[in-house]
Amino acid sequence: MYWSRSRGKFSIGFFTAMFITWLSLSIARAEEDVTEIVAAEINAKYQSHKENFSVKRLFASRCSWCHQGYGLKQADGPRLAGIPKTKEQVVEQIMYGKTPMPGFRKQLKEWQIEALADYIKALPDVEL
Amino acid sequence: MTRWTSVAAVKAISAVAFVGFASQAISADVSWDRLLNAHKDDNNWMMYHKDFTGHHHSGLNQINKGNVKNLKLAWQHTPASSKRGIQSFPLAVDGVVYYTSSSGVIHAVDGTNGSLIWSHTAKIDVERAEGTFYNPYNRGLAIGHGNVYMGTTDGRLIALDAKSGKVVWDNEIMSVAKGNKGFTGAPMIVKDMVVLGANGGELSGCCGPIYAVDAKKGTVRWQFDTIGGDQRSRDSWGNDSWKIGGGGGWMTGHYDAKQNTLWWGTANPAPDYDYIGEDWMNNGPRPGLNLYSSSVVVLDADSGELSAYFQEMPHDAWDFDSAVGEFLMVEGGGKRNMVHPNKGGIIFVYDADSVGGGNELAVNNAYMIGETYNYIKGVTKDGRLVGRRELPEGKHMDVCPAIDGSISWNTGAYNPKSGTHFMVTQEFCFDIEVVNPERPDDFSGQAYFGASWTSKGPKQKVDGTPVDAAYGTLQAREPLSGKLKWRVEYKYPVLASLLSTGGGLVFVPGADGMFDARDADTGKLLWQNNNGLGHHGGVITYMAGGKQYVAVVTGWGSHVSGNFPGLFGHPFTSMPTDAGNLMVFSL
Ligand code: HEC
Repeated sequence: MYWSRSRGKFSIGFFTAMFITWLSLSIARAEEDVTEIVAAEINAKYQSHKENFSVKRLFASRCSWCHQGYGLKQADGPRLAGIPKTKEQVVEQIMYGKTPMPGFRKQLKEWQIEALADYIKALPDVEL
Repeated sequence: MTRWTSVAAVKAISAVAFVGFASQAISADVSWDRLLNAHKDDNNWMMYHKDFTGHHHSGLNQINKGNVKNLKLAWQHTPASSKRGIQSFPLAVDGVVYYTSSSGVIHAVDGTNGSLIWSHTAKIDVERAEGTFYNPYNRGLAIGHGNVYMGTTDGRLIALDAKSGKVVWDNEIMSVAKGNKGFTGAPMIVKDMVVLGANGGELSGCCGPIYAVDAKKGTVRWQFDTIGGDQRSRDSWGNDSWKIGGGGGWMTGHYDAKQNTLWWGTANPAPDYDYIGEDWMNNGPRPGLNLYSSSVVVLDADSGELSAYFQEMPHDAWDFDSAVGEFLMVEGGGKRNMVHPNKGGIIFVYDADSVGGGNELAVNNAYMIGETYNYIKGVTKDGRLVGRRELPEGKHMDVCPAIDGSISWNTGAYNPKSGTHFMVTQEFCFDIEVVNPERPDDFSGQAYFGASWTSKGPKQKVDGTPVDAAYGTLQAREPLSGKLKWRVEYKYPVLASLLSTGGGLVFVPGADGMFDARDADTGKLLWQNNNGLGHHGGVITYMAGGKQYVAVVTGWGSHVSGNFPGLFGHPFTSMPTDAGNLMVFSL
């Protein structure tokens, strides 16, 4: 399956969170792409801001040029899964950027930046 | 006012000095005459493409096949900034080497020993520059009319006195009114103008302008909008999508004196990728052909009016733009041909005289040099794509090449004696998921693409031969027919430009830091030096104090090189992206 080979290790803290997510999803979905499992949670959380919100679609329109594999793969920009930055630091990074990453505070709404940060922090530390 | 008089005076002197141009070091100025005749002057490298043949070839032969084994590092210079590596082309004039690195830095150093003559660091509006994705890159400068010219990532053009490095003028050429963008390419002098083009193909803005700026006053003479500038262009972008269509002309093009035309490659349309797939003429984010994105435009040098064009990628669905700055003027078959490589791995051979009236250029030939592509089945001899692989919304596996293309913006080189064009290709692919991105506000200059992807090695060549990893090639071809003379495989695709010399050599600055000199007739490796860091910029040769030098920049870091750690691991996982040097070799 596409982008589904989760051969890497999960961090202990994350494992618990992932396990809950895992259980809340059908068995069929457990076979799927980890980014989709994570995104489902985030999308649900932000539906009140926008109907049919998709964090992966947002990521693909704004971030993917430099961060490959929806954040799972290092490229021009680093791999975003498992980074030590706190959610607040991730929000800060997205708002202000760092050469050559642009700052997005004028391009994205606050809740969109929050959603991206939640998504990044929820990505399991798996190798693609 | 005294400035203008002195410039005029120096110009007059240099015109005299030019008569005996071999006696270098007399003239300190670079007049238009001197630039126009740069192909007769192999002692100097006075513009990005060396001269208006576009060959990146120097007749110098002090260093040659017989003695290149004795080539040694003569000196090196470390610039004030090498953040994200160094992508620029040095220039060498009358024994002085000028080069830019990243973050708006220029150095002028003694060409015999590297000692500093002057340096300048432009103050960049970092917030604006970072709003594009192309900070802090700079690919070089232009020299002439007593000045050195550099574009900046925040949309300015700066003229510095070539002797002192003092600022003569420093003007904003491009505002953010139609979306943020900047300059990364080297400017080019044409007559008494400085020409340079915008970046920003991935940003939701307009109109990807190319400018001609008065070389003395720093004011804009004309502007050509690569998208949205004329009715034909606007009609080719449904739903007024030209207002967010990107475009640009970010690499240095070419000047053809016979027709008084500028040849310029243009950038891709935004958004990158199109979720609508097959129905792109009528639907999707940018319905239509999207003129003049991913095209070659030919402009009248004096007015900036469109003289001719050819859209190499009609409705570019892969970000395989035409911004490669390489245009080789090659005579053959009773015609003047303009040879232009496209990012999609296609070499287009245009009829250089099929210009005037704003019509399509005549294509004399077109052929593919990429080895693993599958985004199209091929190209016809008159330059039309065959068997397009559209990428509608959803997942697509093993699309080749990846967004980085088969050919990047670096240039090849052409030996006019043997009639051989040296080119490199990069052979890697990606898995991609295309999405329907939200349309940003008009003229907003925001990040605007429509896919996420992961780069990977190709599985097979076009001819079906299995492949187990990404790789690169160095190819030597007859450029008009495309006939292959020899080919060398590189484990890591070469991302730097090439140099051809009268010594029968072709210099290849490698991605892993190896700097190779090869036999131009056979491709045989004759000399190699480990420069310690990946190359991603220019390479030149020049004479100073009676000695031939070869100068190359090291420095790693960019969108394309960012794939290398994932594709190859070591040595790229630990290669710094904030280092680089000017390395200069002699016998
Ligand atoms: C033009 C390329 C580019 C784009 C577009 C881009 N980034 Fe980045 N990003 C980078 C680079 C390069 C870095 C590393 C910067 C550094 O620390 O030197 C980075 C770093 C980051 C980091 C910090 C990683 C760490 O290890 O601490 C986060 C988080 C991040 N980016 C998120 C995003 C998000 C979310 C988006 C889209 C809204 C985005 N980026 C768009 C290039 C980019």
